[in-house]
Amino acid sequence: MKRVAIVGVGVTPRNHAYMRDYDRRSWKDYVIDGAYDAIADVKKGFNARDIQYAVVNYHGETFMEAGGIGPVVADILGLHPIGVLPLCTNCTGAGVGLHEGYSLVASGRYDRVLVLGFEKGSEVLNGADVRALGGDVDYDYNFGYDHPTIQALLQAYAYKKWGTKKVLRAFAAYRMQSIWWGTRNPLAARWGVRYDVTLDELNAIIDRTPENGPIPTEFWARLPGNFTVEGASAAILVPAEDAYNYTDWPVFIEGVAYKTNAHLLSRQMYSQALGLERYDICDFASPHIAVEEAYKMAGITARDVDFAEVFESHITSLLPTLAATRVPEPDKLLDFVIKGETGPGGRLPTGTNGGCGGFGLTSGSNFSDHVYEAVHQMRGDTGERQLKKTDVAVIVGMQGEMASSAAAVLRNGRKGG
Amino acid sequence: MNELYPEQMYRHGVLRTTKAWRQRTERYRLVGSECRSCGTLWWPGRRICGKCNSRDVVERQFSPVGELVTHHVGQLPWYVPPVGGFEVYGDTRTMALVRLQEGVYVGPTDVVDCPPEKIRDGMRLRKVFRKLRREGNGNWQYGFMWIPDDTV
Repeated sequence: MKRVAIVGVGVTPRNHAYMRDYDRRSWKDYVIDGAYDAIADVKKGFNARDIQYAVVNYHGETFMEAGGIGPVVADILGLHPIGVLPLCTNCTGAGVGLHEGYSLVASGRYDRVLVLGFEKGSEVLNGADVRALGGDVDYDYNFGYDHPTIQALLQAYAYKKWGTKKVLRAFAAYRMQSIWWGTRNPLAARWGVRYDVTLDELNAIIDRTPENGPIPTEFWARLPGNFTVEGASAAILVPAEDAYNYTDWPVFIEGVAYKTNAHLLSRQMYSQALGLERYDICDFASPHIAVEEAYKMAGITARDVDFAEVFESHITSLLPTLAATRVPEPDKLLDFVIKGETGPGGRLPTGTNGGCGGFGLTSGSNFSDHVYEAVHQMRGDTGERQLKKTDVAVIVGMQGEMASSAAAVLRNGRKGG
Repeated sequence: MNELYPEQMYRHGVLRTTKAWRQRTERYRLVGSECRSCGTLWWPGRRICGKCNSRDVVERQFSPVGELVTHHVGQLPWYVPPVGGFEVYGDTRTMALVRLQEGVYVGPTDVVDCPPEKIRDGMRLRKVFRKLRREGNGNWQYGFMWIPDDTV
């Protein structure tokens, strides 16, 4: 197997200046902008026609009224007759795309592969269908459960397991940190967007919250939420042995994995599948197993990881993806967040582009958004958000109701570095 | 279709009568499966054992009683409306995860006929048969919910 490198990345902005015209843009515009931004990012000359194969992920077919989009993507990008593999693996799907793209290059089948994730959530086929996507559907959606209601149940279990106040403190700390990153990222949805709450104010509400009582609606009203937006991001993959022909600053994919567990909550609590028995609906099996394999493939341990980009739309997704990095000690996971260890200057800066609350929640491209950010952190051009140590990054995705997870380990490949 | 818009609406939901019918034993009687090779129990049912991969899997009807593992009382106004069709259950809803006597988990599911303030994790529950929601063709879709088991 060949070693694989990323030699170019692209992204569409999620800031207001770009998103205010979202109704004038189709999903095709996002795909074009994301892909050609990545192509233009390859510093030593790279033509779109050099791409031999593409892997494209979006949330799901009902999200933008189109299915079987491979030939359409090849057409709009001017890449006919290359093959395009479409994936619909929700929020971790662009990571699945990275996994597939990696495999195609590592195997020697192709030398230049485009991996892209995108989302056009405002052109839904049917609102009900969208809320059903990313679940078991048969035994959750058809029993009246969708993303928001399942998340509510997951959070109830997290309160029970970890303690309500501690969970809320961790989420408030993390979300305000996301705001810090997001308001310092010109591409982020939070860029230039005012917010009127402080962590102290949120903690004051938490202080008044009974440990086993209802959470004041004021807390949820004031806590900055996910910033749901649209767009695309992309990466160009080549064999590592060719990487310096394209750029002096490649980023190597040292490990990549994709793992699944059940979608249905009851089966996640009672999975008898081998290796999954020890996980419940607070920690989920897939991110742990995916990261374990990615670390093993990269030949690293948690001690080697400098920063992380993880899926963290809710506390119930932050905790398992963060725990999967193995950097926080398992019994000190929430304290790790509360003490700011995921923030600037912390042991594991996490979500440095602003994450779902700062950069924006863009299901089909979440993972490739993370890749974009990690590559730019490694290049050292992220301004005020710039981290000091960026040799190794881990990216952890999460699909639907925590049913699958892609993970990747990236290493800084600066020439002479 | 209605008086205002007599044409067939081209956007339609995912509910299908045949799908609900295929799942009727699981929905109505809590029928799952048991692996005759390794003895592992599953709900919903499956054709291949997820533990030992045996195809020797048979139907198994589970007991209609269980224990409330965790729950959440949701009250409108939420930031999103209930799943279409479930508005009929009012503005308060108790969402739950239930562990059956056999150790198998069921959920997400609903606890009904009990004031939310009386619901406690660990309480015994009994399965009841309820209307879930009406399908696009007018048929009612049925399934189970849970009530406090005061028979013990």
